[in-house]
Amino acid sequence: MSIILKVEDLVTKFYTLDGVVNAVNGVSFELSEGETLAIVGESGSGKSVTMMSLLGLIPLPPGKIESGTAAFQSDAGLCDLLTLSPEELREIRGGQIGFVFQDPISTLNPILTIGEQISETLIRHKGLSIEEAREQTIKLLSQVGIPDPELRYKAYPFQFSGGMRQRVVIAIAIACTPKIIIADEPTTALDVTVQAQIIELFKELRDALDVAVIWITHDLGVVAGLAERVLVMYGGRPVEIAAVRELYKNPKHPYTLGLLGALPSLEAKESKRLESIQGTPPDLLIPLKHCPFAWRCDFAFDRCWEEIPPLITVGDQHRAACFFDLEKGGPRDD
Amino acid sequence: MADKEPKTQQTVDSLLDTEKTFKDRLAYFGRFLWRDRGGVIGLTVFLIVVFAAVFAPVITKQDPFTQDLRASKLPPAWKEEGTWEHPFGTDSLGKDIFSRVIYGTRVSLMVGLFGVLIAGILGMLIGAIAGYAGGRLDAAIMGGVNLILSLPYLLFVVFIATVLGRSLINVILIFGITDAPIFARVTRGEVLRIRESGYVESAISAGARWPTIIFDHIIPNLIGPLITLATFEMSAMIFYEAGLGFLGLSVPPNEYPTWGNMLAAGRKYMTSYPWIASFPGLAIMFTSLGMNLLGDWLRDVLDPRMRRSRK
Amino acid sequence: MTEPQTLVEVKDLKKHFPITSGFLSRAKRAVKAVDGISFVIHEGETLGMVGESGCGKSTAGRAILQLHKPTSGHVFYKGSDLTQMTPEELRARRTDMQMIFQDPYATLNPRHSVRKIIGEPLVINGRMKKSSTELQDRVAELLELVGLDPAYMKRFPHEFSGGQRQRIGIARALSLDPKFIVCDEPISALDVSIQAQVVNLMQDLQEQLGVAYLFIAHDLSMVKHISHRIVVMYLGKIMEMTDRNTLFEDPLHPYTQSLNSAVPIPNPEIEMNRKRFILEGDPPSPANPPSGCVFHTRCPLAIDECITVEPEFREITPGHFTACHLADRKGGSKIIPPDPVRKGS
Repeated sequence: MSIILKVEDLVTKFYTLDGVVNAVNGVSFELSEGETLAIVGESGSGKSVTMMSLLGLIPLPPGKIESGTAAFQSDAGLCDLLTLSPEELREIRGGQIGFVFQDPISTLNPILTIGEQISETLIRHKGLSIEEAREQTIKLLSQVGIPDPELRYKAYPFQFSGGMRQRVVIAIAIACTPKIIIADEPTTALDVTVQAQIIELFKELRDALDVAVIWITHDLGVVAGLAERVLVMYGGRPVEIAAVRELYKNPKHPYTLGLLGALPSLEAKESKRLESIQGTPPDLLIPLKHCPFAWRCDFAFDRCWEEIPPLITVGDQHRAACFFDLEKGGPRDD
Repeated sequence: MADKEPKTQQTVDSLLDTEKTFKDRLAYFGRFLWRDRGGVIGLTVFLIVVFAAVFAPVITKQDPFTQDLRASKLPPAWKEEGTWEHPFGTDSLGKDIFSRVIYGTRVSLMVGLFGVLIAGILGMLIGAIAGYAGGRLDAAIMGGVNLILSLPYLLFVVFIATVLGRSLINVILIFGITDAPIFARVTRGEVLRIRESGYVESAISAGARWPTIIFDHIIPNLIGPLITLATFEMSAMIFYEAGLGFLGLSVPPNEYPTWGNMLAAGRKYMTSYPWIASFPGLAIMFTSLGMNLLGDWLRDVLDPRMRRSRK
Repeated sequence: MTEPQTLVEVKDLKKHFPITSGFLSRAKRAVKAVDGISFVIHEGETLGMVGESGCGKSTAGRAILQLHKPTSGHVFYKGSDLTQMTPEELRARRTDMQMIFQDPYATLNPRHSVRKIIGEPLVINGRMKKSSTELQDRVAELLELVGLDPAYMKRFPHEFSGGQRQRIGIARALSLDPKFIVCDEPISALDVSIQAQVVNLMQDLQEQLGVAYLFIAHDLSMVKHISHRIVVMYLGKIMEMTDRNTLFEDPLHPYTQSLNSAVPIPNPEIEMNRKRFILEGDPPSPANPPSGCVFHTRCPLAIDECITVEPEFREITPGHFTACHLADRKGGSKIIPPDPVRKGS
């Protein structure tokens, strides 16, 4: 399977009046055709900023993409997303790369009908006529499970429920059969039964369209059901990346271990005490010369305070940024 | 014992961090000044005006009322016929413009401060009752407020001036009453917002009665927006006074020098002796601008949501 | 083992919000946020209350504490009916029942110091004087109890993170030594790694102080973890009530079964192989609830009776209550054969 997106050493900072916010500190990952990658992290992990950097959605003052490359295999050939002009990025957004954000209320224009909003994408990126776009839109609406699509074409976003609105956003995202769909917490604001519907829909569409998906979330339950590979981020850095089963069975980074331990599970008989991670997420204003997780880590030793651990291979297709070997119970030998 | 909060990032990093040098501190101060440059300018202007009002006799030895027809219509000092005795020149009756501008700050400040005081207290009371009571009382009060707002302002002013005569106190009263509705509206809005906020609900669930809620919770959170509004309204009142003076409805000129009166007097000389109206005009402009900048800055600074969460 | 004492008894509680249109017209319709719920909470236990948006759980919590005046029904606290009390009597009782709120960013007055925030309930109720050392000591004690440095009492809310603010909220709720705390979504606004900290704290406090919780939340996994018994709400009514394990191993109500099926499990082996039942459609609006059983519009097992007759909320097996016509009939009320999840992982 060929690689369609390869991000290397992305660094994004925000120059604010309080100082420089080191939002993203060297993220690298690859995405293959049709693959689903989940990016997991809490607030301040940099997961959303990473995606926004790739899509050109960062306001450029105060933000600045300091370095890195993002090679994207678009239909027009290989290009570096980080070096494209705003016009070129606009072409790609919605066309080659679709996106679904958390809050459909802010993504959808309240004064346009949903039909118009979907058709707009088709007209712009695929050059369809108004009639053709309308026909295609109605097909899309039924594909995403909206009943009575011909009637609903003329409806406005406020007439839909949260779950339905998110389906409309998904319709816009898949309208031009993109190569990648980037979804940033698309189900976090939804009720759990509606979330289940949307995730099922996503799975169907993903299989039908063979599209690659980057799913950003903090919910490790959702990840378990959707992802093929998982990238865990903390403090603007990647801390672990592995295939999904491997990650849950053999986490190699103390943060991942902590996250998994902090989750209650439905099927646990006894409610054992949750393993919480002490402390709070890091302040990104302070540039670090050591591991960002060190003071919350139960296993930190002196090397952790002296250097920033790089991502090293710790298993089959499994990399982690940590000097401590959890299995061995001691520092990793290089 | 509960999961303890371990050493926070701040304390640990301060062990590892290098010390802040003097240059660092200077840089931080410089960034602070630059970021808040609007506020710095505004505050400076305000302080200059206050200083001028308080120390007027020290700043200028000229009497603002003395007429000297021989020295009338003199241009500003840097022009050919000007003299440094009258730095801004003189008006048609020979009164020194510079001292009149300086003494004029007193009127502007008094009108602004007391006008806002009256409008603020009146408006705050009305708005707070309306916002807190809600329902029919609220609707009735706001109906009354809107009625006052819809009164033709000028008519009202002329009426007061005619019936009660022209004086500084009357000007202040007029502004106080006509501006109160704005304070009432803002107060009501803020009270509504605060009333619905989580901490008021929390206080109620702890058993708080309405005096506690009003004095401990609502009023402290009102002060920020109201101070900001007060600053803007002060600036507006200085403007209005100029307008009134222009129409000849402000303080009689032989009582106090006001910028508005000076504008009125200098109007007919705009093409021949422009400085007579220009200097008071500039004074009005800078004072208003300064107050507005100050108000903007105060709004940002006093809003707890905007405060940086530095640990 | 002695019978646990009943602390709170809720009987047929209703809270309707009238919808008025126009300045003078009377209310014709109402949002039936809570429409007849009944349950019991014992001393020192945690009753979880779970449901999706519009189910009325937040309103229920407030109505129980009389923060909303109930439209009808009764709430007995240690035998006394709160709904029949005068404001003065209520205020006296309130000290025993407190609330923890959802949004740690909005529930602390930004202009008050932490000391003032935590001490406020004590001062309001006349237990301690505002500037006394007694108050200061108590605040310090409470801060330590929730795992915060007592020196923090001089600081202001904006200097703290979400998790810390929530701890401050908990300290404040504990200041009067209540025996019953209503927790309205106390952890939803927090990061995952912090949620565990706060939940552990709440459990520790329950062990130490014997406090009973009504834990209202939408995260089923967390509710199951912390609760002894759970109540499932839908559109203002209770669908099912039982202990935590039975709710997942043997759910009687179709809605509960759908909820169980919808919650993602953080285990790829299980998640990828689950046979799930996905509920169709969206929850109806509480302003316009369906007739008969409020769930019938989405229920795959609905029969004619469900459209016209509201099912009675009754005890099917000891301690297991539900409101479904099919629960004790032939054929039962199970949507699909038991989910492989519960057959051991």
